[in-house]
Parts: sequence; C-alpha cells; structure tokens
Amino acid sequence: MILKLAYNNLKKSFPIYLVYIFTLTLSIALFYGFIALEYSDVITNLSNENKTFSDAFITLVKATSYFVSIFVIFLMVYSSNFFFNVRSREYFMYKTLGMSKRELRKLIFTENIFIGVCSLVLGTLIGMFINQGLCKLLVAYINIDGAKFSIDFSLEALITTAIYFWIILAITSVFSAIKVSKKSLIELKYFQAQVVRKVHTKIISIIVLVLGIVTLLTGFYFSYNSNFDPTSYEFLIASCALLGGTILTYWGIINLLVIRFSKQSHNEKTLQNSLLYNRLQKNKLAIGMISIAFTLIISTLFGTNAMIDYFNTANIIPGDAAIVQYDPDIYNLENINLEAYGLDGHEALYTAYTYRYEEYEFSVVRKSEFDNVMKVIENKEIESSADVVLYDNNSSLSGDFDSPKTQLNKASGLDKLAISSPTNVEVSSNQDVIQLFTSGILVVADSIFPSFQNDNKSLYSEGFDYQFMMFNYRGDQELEENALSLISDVEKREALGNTRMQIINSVMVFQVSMLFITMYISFMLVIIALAILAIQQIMDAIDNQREYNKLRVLGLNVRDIKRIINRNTISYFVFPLVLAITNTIGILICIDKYIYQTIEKTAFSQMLNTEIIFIVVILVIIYTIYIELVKSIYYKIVGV
Amino acid sequence: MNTILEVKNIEKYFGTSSNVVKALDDVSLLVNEGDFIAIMGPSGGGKSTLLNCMSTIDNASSGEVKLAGQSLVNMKQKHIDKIRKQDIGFIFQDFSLISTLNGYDNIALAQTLAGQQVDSAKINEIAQVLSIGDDLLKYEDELSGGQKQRVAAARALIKNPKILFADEPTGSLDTKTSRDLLDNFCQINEQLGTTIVMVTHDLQSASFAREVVFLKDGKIYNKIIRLEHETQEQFRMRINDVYVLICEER
Repeated sequence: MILKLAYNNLKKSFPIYLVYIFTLTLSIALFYGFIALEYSDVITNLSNENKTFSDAFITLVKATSYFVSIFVIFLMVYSSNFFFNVRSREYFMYKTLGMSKRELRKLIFTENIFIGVCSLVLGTLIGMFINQGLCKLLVAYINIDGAKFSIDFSLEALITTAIYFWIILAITSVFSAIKVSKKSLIELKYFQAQVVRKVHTKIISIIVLVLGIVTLLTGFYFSYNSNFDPTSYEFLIASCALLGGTILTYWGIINLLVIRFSKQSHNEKTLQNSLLYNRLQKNKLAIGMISIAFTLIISTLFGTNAMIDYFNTANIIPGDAAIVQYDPDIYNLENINLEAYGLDGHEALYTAYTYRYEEYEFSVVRKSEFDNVMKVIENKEIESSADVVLYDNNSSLSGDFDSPKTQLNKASGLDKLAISSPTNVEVSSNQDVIQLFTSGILVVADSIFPSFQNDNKSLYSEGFDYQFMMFNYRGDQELEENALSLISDVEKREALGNTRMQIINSVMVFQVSMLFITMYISFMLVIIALAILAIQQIMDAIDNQREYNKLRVLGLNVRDIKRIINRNTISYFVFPLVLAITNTIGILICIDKYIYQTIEKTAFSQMLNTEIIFIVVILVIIYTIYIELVKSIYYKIVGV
Repeated sequence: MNTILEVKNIEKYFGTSSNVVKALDDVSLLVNEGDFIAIMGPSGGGKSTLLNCMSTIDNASSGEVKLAGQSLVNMKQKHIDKIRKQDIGFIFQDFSLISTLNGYDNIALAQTLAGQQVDSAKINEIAQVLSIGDDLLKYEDELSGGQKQRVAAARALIKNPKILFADEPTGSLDTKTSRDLLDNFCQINEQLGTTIVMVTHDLQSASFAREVVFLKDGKIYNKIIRLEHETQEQFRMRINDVYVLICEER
C-alpha cells in the first residue's frame, strides 16, 4: 500500500515535482558526463607522457564534483523543505489515519527512490550525450597523440554517479523524515509557510540601499587592490563586502519597490504587483544569494576567458624550458613556484648557459627597457636573422656581441629575443615569467653570474622572489634532455627539470581544466539557482491560487492572467540576474586591472570567444527552459 | 456505561509570554461509550482546540485527558500513535481524503495502517451503510461533497475505532447532504455503538447528537441532553435558546 501510495502521490503531484526531477536529472547528467571522462577512451588512450595531464585533469574534475555536490545537497534539502510546506496537511492526514513515524519515513524514502531511479535513468542517458560532447571538446583542445574520440558508455561512471546520488538522496530523505517526525500533529495541521516579513520604512530602506552600495563599492575597491591573492586581507574584505553589499542592495531595492507599490492607487495592477513584490520580499535572502551565485557564474565565465587568454600558450615556442635559480641561504624552496624547477649552484646554470652560448648568439636587454622592447616586438621592428638577441646597455658579458641596435636588427622575431639584466632583476612574479616565457623571450637572471650575487641581496629583501633563466631549445627535445643531463652531471645529482612536454602539459592542464571546470560549475550553479527560483515561483502559484481567482472575478480573462504570470515569472527570474550583471562589471574591472595591466589589453575585449559564446547560449537555453517550465506549471496550478 | 473519554480541568494557552491567549479554561467533560456528543459554540470559543486536545492532536497546557482509561499526560509518543491508530477515527471539515487514491483505497489504507488485513467485505458493508457502495472506485475530484465526507467517515470507521472525532463534518456541505450524513452518523452510533464527539457551530447538526456541550470563551457554558421523548426539532429549539443566550452575552 505504501508503494502504491508513493507512486500515486508522485503521479498526482508530478507538476510540482517536475522542476525538482528535471534539475536532479540535469545534475546527474552533468555529473555523469564529467565523471565519465576519467573512463573515456580519450583519457585512457593517452600515452604515458601525457599521463601527467590526464591525472591532473581528472583530479580537478573530481574535486569540482565534490564541490558542486554541496550545492546539489543544498538544493535537495531546500526542495524537501518546499515539499514539506506543500504537503504538511497531507502528512497530518496520514498521521491521523494512524501512520507511524516509521511508515511515514518509509513513504518518504519510497517516493525519493522513485524520483532517484527516474532521474538516474534519464540523467545517465543525457549524461552520455554530454560526455560525448565533452570528449569531442577535449580531443579538440589537447590535440595530442593517443587522444582519440569514440562513443562509449562507462559502467564505472554510472556506478560512481549512482552511489554518489543515492548518498545525497539518502541524506535528503533522512532530513525530510526527521523534519516530518519532529513536527507534532497540531503543527502539521495548521502549518503555514513563513509569512511576509514586515517591510521597513522608506528611510530605513534608503539607508539599507545606500549602505549596500557603499559596501559593494568598498568590496570592489579592495578587490581592485587585492591582486586576487586569496591570502591577502584585502581579498577577504572584498569577498565579505561583495557578499554583504549584494544582499543589502537587493534588500534596499525590494523594500523601496514594495513601499512604492503600496502607495500606488488601487487598480487591477495592484494585486498583480503585490504578488510579485511580496514574493521578492519574502525570498529576499534567497534571491540575494542567487544574485551572488549568478555573479560568480558570470564573472567566472567571462573571467575564465581572460585568465585563459592571459596564460594562453598557443604560441609557446616549442622547446622552451624554465629554470629558476635561487639562493638557498635567502629563500626557502616553498617560495619557488613549482612550475619552474630549482637548481642549486651557479655552476650548473653557468654550464648550461655556456652550452647554449655555443649554439646561439646572445644579446642582453635590460628589464627596464622591457616596455620599449615590447613595442618593438609589437611593431615587428625586429627582423634580424639572429637566433637570439640579448640586449643590455651595460652588458658585462664579454664576447662577440654587436651593439644593441645591431643585435635588435639581427633578431628575427619573438622567439629569437632574449632579455637579461645582469644588474637589475625585475622579473618579480611568476606571471611575469610566464608572460615572457610565452612570448618566447629568453630571460637570464642576473645572479647566475656570481659577481653580481652580492649586489642583488638588497633586491631580494625588496621582494623579488624569483630569478629565472629560460632556455630556448627550439623544440629540440633531445637537446633539452642533453642540457638537463649536463646540468645534473655537473651537479652530480638529478636536475629537477621540466621537459618541454611537461611544461606544455602543465599549461594545457590549466587551460583545459579552467574551461571544463568553468563549464561544470557554471552549469551546475545555474541549474541549482534556477531550480530554487522555480520552486519559489511554484510556491507562489500554490499560495496565490485564490488571488488569481480574485483577478478573474475582477474581470480578467485567461489571457490576461497568463500575461500576468508571464510577466511576474520573467521578472522574478531576471531580477537577480540584473544585479549579478552589475556586480560582474565591477569584478571584470578588477580582473582587467589584475591580468591585463602589462599587456595593454582589456578583460572586456577578451570576454568572448567561441567556447564562451557556446556556453552562454546553452545557459540562456537552460534559463529559458526553466522559465517556460515554471510558466506552464504555474498555469496548471492556477487553472488557466 | 463505561467512560471512554475523560477530560479533567484542562487549560490551553497559545502565544508567547507577551501575548498569551487562554483558549481553554478549566474544561472538564465525561464521554461514555456509545455517546453522541456535539460541542457547540461561537467561533473562537475553543471548540476545535478542545477537540484537538481530546483527540491526541494537541496537548493541553494543564489538566488531564484520559482515553479508554489511559491518561495521555506524559504518555510516550509511540503509545499515543498506537492509540490513534487503533482507537480513534477522525473526520474533518475539508474531508482530508488522499486525492491520489480512490475511495476504496482510502478506506483500505486506513485498515492497513491499523495493522489489519484489507477486508473487502467489510469495506463494502460500511460503504453500503453510508450509501457510497457505487462510488468506491471514484477519486476525490469525481465525488460530491457529501460523498467525500461519507468516504472519510467510512475510512474513519473501518478500523472499528472506540471513538470518532468529527471536526465540523458538515461545514462544507449543503443542508440536504448534511442531514443525510448526520443520519448516517446516528445510524453508525446506534448500530455499531461508535462513540461520536462532533464539533459544530450549526444548530441543525448539533440537534442530531444526544448531548450538546456549549463552549464560550474557552469555558463550558452549558450542557443539554436530549430528552427521551423529545423530537429532534424540539431539541433543536432548546439548543437554539442556549446559543442565542451565548451570542447575546457576547
């Protein structure tokens, strides 16, 4: 009987459960789609050399899955609260009929099992298509040997997904069961959803709004100055201020809207506006949070492209290797970014340098001349046939160097320029190095020359963390390996070197992972946020059935009612988005400052590329589906 | 006759410390097996609160309620659930049918939950008594108000409860249907010996009971018992007199 009851309950309440099932199905589909990448032929067929990439990529995907699961659990608990509100009278009825707590729990579990099975089957089917799309995208991106695309189904991924979602479902079921069990009969009988809170006065609302805007601006200010360093106090202040500012701003706006509405002359629009504003007012905290989620999604989406662009190594010179030389007396190894590799001893570097010197001509360029050199590069003024140009006005290197001007003229392009300043290291962050590195510029750190080491101690104390030397191997991996072995021979120990492939892999891991994880988080957060908005709108429909009947009594026909529902639903879905877009503009300005301060581009100019446009289009489609779904459920509940 | 329900000096408060409302004030009541009692009074008088406290739906703030000789005060929830499952039947104004099940399944569910085997013969028998034999396979939205309330009554009675609590059972029905349903209540009360405690604000409905308890401002205002040779109409007139008095005093 419980089984029949559970089945019939779901069947009868299907419109109310539809959004929940749809969201759960999409979540499972995404989860399966991404988890199945680990078992896909694309990853499993990668050669051993590329395992570094695949391992790192899969680890990131898994970590993201655990991260997004927090939001899935939140959604499910939120939904179960909603269903409790809708069904409390029904639970009361069961209890008066003599249903024990155990039987009630059994009923809830059975219903959840039906939903789970239904969502899992559908979700896996959709997930298979998503996985195919992701595999294709992955192949297109990594473009390395062994990455062959083929259509496949992964039982392992299915099992992982099933276990994962059953755990989440079990948590939700337990939560629901506890909630129902804890409520007394009288509470269930007269249960009422939270009533609309008191609206503040106009003055308080204006103060809240101003406070919100000021907090937001403070957040942007600190964000602008934090350089996105999560360990800095500016970053912490910025995060809190953006969070609080968004909610306060939203509260202020909504309060003012409600106050303004209440002072309007009463006409047929009064009731329809009250429905929208009351709902916005009632759920202001949730909508404020959704605005923040949307802000995260949009800024991640557009910021990602900027980040990828920043780290873009599409034009990386094959064969480049980075060596970081540090003074162990002054610096700990932890301070050295592991993207490069560390070596002790100037001899090793010097040997390597000499090794390279025999191969190519060098010139030395002061870092202080960097901007000028960049301009020369951009204007393609370097058209020499020299292999490498080292340019240094005060070059202390002895050797067969031409004058700087001649050397520049000899340089034949980006990949043939080397920069060093024996007296002044201005490469102060890893980003600088990567930028130089990806521009094909050979950087020679000054302290490789022992004679300058003492002079540079003062620079260390000023925060110059890194000294770099980059070798240009012209894509000759054998040559690179020889160099590394030569260095290690000199040092009589293994050189902690990155091969060209490892460097490319690490960059690729970053680039591909950023794109995939952005997609994953964006889709997941969007569907969860939309599901919450949808559930709130459905609750609105249930709460306001009578109000809509009143509108009909007032003379509005079905078409008018539908128009009101459409307007209210779209407004309800768009409101947090507008706030999020405003926030995003501020965040992009901060990203802009952080990323593009040296390369004279703007984040806004780099916001869109094919992938991002594709993701945005899909997100817009999902957004539209949710709005249409909610509208149709709303019509059904209201009876139009 | 044995006492099935005993209410001793119960009080019920609602609200927080700054805004306390006394809904029941020292109410005592005895209900014997086979009684048919109506609780009447103006709205806000505490009728439903009293019914809730007597029927295990709510707890009294003070005082004692004994059901079938067992005090509900400090009784474990599990035990209360068991009493509710076996000894109590409920009928509500809004019918409270499970819309996802048809009439038959609604009744059968109550039997299952009471730990009994589904007994089709018994279901049909009760359905015949309540004149819903032809409507058992219909769902809630296919039944009229009267039919719904009869299904609800059948569902409440199928497990042979010792006492049936009805909260405004005719509140959503028209006069004719109300009368038919209350005739059924009398029939059940007489034939099956089921004790009925009914809350109503309707004079006509109350006149079907054998005893009427009047509540006013949370206190028992009066009790009247139908006399042996008194007609229903005469009884109704007496009820009316008391009710008018209550309303005038308010």
